[in-house]
Amino acid sequence: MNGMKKVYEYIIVGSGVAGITIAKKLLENNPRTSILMLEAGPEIPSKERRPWWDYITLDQTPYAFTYDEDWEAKSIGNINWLSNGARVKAVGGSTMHWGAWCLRFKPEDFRLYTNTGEGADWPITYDDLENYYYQAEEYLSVCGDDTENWSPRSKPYPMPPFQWTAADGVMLMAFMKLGIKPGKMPMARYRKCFTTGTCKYCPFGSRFSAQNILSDLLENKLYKNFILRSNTPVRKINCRSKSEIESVECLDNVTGAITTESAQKFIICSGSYETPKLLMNSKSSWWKNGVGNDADLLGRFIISHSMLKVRGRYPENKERWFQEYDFPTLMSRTYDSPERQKIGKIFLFKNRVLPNVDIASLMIAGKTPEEIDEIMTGPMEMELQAFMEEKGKFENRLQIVEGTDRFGLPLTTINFNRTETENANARENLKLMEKVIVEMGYEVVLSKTEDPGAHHTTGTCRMGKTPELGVTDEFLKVHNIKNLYLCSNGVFPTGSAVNPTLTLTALSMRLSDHLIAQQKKIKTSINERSRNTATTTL
Amino acid sequence: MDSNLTPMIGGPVCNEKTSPGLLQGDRQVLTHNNKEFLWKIFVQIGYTWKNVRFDSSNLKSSWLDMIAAKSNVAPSYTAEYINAAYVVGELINMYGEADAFYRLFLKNGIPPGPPLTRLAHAKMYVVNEFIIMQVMASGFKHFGGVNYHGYVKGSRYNLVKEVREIEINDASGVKTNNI
Repeated sequence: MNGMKKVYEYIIVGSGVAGITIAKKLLENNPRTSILMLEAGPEIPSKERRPWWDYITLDQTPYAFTYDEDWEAKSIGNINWLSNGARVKAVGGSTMHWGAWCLRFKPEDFRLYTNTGEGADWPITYDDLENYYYQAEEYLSVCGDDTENWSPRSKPYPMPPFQWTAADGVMLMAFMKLGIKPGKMPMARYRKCFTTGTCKYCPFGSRFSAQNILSDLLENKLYKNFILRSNTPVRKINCRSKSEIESVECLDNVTGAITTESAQKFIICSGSYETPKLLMNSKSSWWKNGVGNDADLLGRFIISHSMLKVRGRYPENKERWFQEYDFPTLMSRTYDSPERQKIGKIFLFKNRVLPNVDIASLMIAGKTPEEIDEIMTGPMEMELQAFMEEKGKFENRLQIVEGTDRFGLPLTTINFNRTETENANARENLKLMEKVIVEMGYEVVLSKTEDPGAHHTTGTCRMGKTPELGVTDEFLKVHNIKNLYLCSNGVFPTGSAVNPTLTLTALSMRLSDHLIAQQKKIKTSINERSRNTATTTL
Repeated sequence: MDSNLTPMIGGPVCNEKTSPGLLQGDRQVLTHNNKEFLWKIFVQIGYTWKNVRFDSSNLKSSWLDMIAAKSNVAPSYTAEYINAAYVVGELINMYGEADAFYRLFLKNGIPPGPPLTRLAHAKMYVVNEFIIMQVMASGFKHFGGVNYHGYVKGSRYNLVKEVREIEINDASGVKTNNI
């Protein structure tokens, strides 16, 4: 190798759930596979005692400093798009802080344009993903209820569900009276979960974190050719020709060194923001608008979920209910149905915090035991929340602007606008939710649509059958480039009404199988060629 | 409690001015006596709010874990812990033990805002965090519920329910299984 530049089999950009899942599958298939993983953010401990105690006593997480500041990701549309708090820029990506609600999309989510004339269709169907959904549920250890069958499933959940809590009772009753089918929230938790409610910094590693999987891969002596470089933002993709990528340019944030790294295949897994931004930032004589961007689709069609909230108040809380888990246990997908696709499907769930009395804060404020008892049994609030599906619009877009953030990545603007029809649709959905609160016998004290948070951003480098419809093909390969793949929520043509990570994990597994099948095909073809050559020689 | 109506308690130690940030003292060592004194503060929290059993002794291992994590890893709380010991010592000398803790927890007169005195430091960095830890470690049970943010009871795969669950008798009836 002296004097020769190392060419990896794969360079994976980003170390979140997508990147880690693909690396793991490729290494399990062939432990000698050479993979360079590049991560812009730092390594942050995920199971140490001090950060956990700080989380308990100060409500601080050790990764919060990596969140976007407003100057790093600016909202410029008629709706305030919230980036701060949405994504973790560190080894492990946003799985460092995710809630791990794991819901499958529904078959109609893959046919939004066909069904409504708005948004887009996926180039694949639910059936293409069903087996991968199951694999993803096993991998993430999803605890769910087999009997609900919101989406067709060929196998049961790997783990039993978390049960409804007593505090769910009154809302559960209202659901039933109104014909809303109640369900149990599918959550990714390993068997060792101690239900501490401190899932955003789990002291036991009881919830899937890409960082923990990554540690296993790095410690595995068989995987000698797997390398992780943290604090190394990738700034540009270099082309060998219009149809082939040669290398990536990256910056070592610690030493300041700029290097180029080469590979046979490149997989960009750096989330819905950084994946399209990297391609947009890679202009060349072959790709004047950025790699894979001749149709001007990169960064377009950005969506997330609108959060709808209806809160009710009841004059007393004799049973002293408070939310005992840090996640909702009661949900419903009754209005997440094909009939409601046009107006915007909603996924209902009980607020994961209310009812709540912060006992410690009352003690800190000097309240006596008797005063606290009175507050505990006094008026209480419960809230029904929903994610509402948004539909991608060409003019809603994410763009790069001059300058870099604290991690050496280009600055971002998000131009997100809603129409009056979309606002009216949200109000109609809120009315459905208000009926539940009224049926509970509670007084409605709040009914509103929140600004969209970037947690569930999709659409920014969506897949499509042709280069005019999407940036990538159905196997996530960028159209007209033979060795560049994208794997992030950005490739979703639609966002559905539910959380995206399970679907992203399923797509990562599907891509891994595709890459492994390609490897096998090449190997077979080489073997055949060698045999033919040998025969000819004989 | 209305801090505006209660004059701030304590003597010269309690009322000495300090900057609001964490007191520096990374090279100081928390002695056995320091820890025993701090433990006394923690136990008094349980007595004041009557929300623990066994004089809090069943919570001591968790409490020691927190003290170790907060004093052995930067930024260290050691100087805050030593400060709290002196502050509470002065309060006990001035008011007697029972009244000292009553005043410290319920009638301290500390003005709202950043902690600018040694007493305010002891309240914010030590007493308040002890209260949060005590409630999380099981103190919440007295006020209702069987699980709480941070409570480490055990794996959910055992015979004891981790929350109050609900039982459904039929399509229209809900019965609470209030354990």
